[in-house]
Amino acid sequence: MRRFAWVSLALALLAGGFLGWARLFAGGPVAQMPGGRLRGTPAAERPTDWSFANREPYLLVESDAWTLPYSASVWFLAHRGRLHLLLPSFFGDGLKRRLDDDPRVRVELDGELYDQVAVPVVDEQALGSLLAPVIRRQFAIEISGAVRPVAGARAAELWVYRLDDPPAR
Amino acid sequence: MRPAAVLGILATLALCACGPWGPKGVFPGGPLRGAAEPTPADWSFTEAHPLIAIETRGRWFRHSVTILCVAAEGKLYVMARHAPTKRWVQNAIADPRVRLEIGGRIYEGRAVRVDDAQDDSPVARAFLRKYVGVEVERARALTGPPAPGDDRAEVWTFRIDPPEAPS
Repeated sequence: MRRFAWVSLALALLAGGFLGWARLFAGGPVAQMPGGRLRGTPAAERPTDWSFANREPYLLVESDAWTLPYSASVWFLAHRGRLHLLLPSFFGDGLKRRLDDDPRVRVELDGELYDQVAVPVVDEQALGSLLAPVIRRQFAIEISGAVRPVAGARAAELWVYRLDDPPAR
Repeated sequence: MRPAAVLGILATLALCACGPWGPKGVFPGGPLRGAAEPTPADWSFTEAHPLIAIETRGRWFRHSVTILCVAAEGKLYVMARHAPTKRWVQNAIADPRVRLEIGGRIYEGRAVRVDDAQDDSPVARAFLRKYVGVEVERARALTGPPAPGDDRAEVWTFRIDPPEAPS
């Protein structure tokens, strides 16, 4: 029994060490686990058209809103040249709550880090224009014809944020 | 059992955040715990559950993850985005026997990959109703790997059929 306790404790320390490393020192999220500060080189200039980013399945996003830097691998879409973060509620709201507290984020692409500002997209028309491209990219479903909201649907929420360049100092 | 042993076990489970009994959020897990219920004739009740757990059989270990599901025409379907990279998908292709945890109950079944390439797919429409909250006139599931330059996810759909009767 004593040996079992020691083995359990060693496993716990190992697991704790791994989670601590992943959260603080891994240079970003590990698989789907949130991480800390993103590793990369600050980009010399920002693209004016982010469409090239769509080749990546996920976008690495870091928020420094709270005490510890928090980074996550998130769904996204570059639409009309701008990056849009797509945060489904069923993945939790860890990033959303941080963005609502402080919209400044850092994104990583090809080893380069870009500063951006996350602006929530709530306008019906803007959301409507994103619907078909988001459904095609994320769920591989092509829609056509009329689209109408399902009355009383308990659909998962999708929080959308457009990333803009930060204001010039 | 000594308090140190209990503490050690609890700490392990808490820190691993996955435990031996199924996934916890984004953390994959092991075997789902519990006896299986009879297979439902109609899976429509799953509409109330946005996330379910699926347990597949790997070569050495059971592997369970949290996934999306949709019921269409009484049958249950589960989807995998970027499917070829997912361990549970590879396991299900090699051995279709799966267990599902839906609303705290366990069900057994066989995951059968379906090629839902109809011009208007009831599964795709049900998916959009459940997860996007929209009714669309036409919904076509794009199957197979995306063409070069096409940035859509590769989504595989599995229908959950009743388990094979023991021989």
